[in-house]
Amino acid sequence: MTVSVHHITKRFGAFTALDDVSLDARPGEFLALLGPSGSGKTTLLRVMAGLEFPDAGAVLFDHVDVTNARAAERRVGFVFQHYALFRHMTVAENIAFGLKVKKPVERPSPEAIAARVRDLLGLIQLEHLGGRYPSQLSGGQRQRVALARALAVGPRVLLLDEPFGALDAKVRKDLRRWLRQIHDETGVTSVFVTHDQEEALELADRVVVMNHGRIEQVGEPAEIYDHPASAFVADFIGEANRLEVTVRHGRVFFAGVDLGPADGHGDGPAILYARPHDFVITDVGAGAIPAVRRSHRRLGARHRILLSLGDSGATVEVETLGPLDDGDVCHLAIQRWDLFPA
Amino acid sequence: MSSSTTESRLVRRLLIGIALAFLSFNLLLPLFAVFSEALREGWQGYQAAIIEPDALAAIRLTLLAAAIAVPFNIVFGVCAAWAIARFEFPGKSLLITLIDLPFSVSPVIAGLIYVLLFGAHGWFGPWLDEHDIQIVFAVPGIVLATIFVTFPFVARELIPLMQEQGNDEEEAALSLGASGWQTFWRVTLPNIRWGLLYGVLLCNARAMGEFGAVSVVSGHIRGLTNTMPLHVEILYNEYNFIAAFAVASLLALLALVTLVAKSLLEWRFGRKAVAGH
Repeated sequence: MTVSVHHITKRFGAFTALDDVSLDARPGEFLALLGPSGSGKTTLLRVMAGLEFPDAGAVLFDHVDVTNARAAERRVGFVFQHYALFRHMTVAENIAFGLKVKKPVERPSPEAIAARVRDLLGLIQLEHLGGRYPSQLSGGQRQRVALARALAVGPRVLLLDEPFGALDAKVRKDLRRWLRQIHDETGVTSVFVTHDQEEALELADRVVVMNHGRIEQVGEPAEIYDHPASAFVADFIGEANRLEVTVRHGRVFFAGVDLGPADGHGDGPAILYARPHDFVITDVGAGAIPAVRRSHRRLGARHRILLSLGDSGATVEVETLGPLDDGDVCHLAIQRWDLFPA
Repeated sequence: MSSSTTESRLVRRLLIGIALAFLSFNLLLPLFAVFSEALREGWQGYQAAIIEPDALAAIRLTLLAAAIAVPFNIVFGVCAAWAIARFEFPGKSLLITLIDLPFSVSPVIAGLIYVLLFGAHGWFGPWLDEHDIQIVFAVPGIVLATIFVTFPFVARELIPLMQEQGNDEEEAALSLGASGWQTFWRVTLPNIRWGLLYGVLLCNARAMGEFGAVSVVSGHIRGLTNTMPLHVEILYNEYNFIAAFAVASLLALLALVTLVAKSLLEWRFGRKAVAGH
């Protein structure tokens, strides 16, 4: 199913949580809403779910306006960050809830409900825990139960609010691969909120980057990473070095060094973003920035070397660059970059 | 090390001793006195004092007042706690303060308010008189006064509980297709039931035991507007000690039953279920 939001604005008092946001989630797509806290991503998800109502704009499910429909009428599956399992019900009762509250004419028979619960317990690999209470489960198990409960009603769209936010790193990794698998099996359009870019880039078909209640960029993970549409995206996604440069006569200058063509950027000050792996050591010559190695740090298998550039005071972090010691002098070239107006 | 433990043990015993002595003197001794006075002329004197028509009328009125005040408080308490825990609205802190008002106001003042409002010379007095409605010095006044002094109990029990629980579960129920009523009966109520029961117990104990506010609006008409605490006072003032203590012992029993039920609740569901203390 297609989930569309058109020109949604939502304010909480003086705070604008969503500012004229428009977006489509395509049928069967796994879409990530990514952004820092306060960027409006959770509010957008809750507007889609009918748990929050916009001040302006429309929400459409398969081109049908559901803006004023309550959550109960939209048939969405919502998975909460802190699971929100019913604490006084067993796992099986939790999963059956959405079926049991259906109107008598639509409600499956008790046998059919029991069968559905068994199937879902199998899907989440907790067949033997149907009689347990939520407080007797681990965080990862609870989140799987929450997912099963949401899937039980056959939702038209699955909405997940930081589904792995409360879990530790190892469980999180396992669970998100498993979630992707479930998504591929069920084929239900899914939208999930996260502030973890690794999660978004690994899991999603497309990523929506949000900031200050606005959408900065929508695209496939590789596109977002390789071609950030704004300075915010370049800075927020992955690691990036930020350099203040000047564009003169269509060329980019940093501390007097001509780095190359500015690709249509107007003259004046600009901000350049380059990834740690976009720097290479080079000989003295065109585009070479004199640099001094300052320090080195390790992030698991990766290395990062901190260099100061010339006498500009700017520093950059780059990937391993061969045999250099702290204090050594070299020249750096930037192989590719993104340029934004200052 | 050893000297410090010896000292702390001594201090500990002293403190426990003081607390126990104080409790015995102030609570256990009077409780014992109530029952021993009530039974001084044996079981028959006790029974006679209780089945006497005025005493029965007082018991009936007390039960009636509680039977109206407690359900009212359940409805009001759940509504107020829901509103306060779930919504942000202007005047919220004022509402919380107002809920506490009966705790901070003298019960006598609470009674007087109703006399001033509904009494013969009160604001609504002439109108009520015209329509032949009697509130003060009649059963409605007693019920109103009882509701006034008891209305914080359920709400205060539920507000912290519902604030702590948040509304995730309710939102989950709504997103799963449950209606508002289904959400309330299947999710909200089961989550607050022990806190609610606890509040109801306290509310009931207060409703049956209230003296001051009820005394002002009652008019002390025997067999008509006397509740149990008022009946006790009248009997006592008439030097009818056995009857006074017999009726008082019923109130004391109620207090004991409430205490036991409260302890059972706490023991069965732990501190968490009856949170907010």
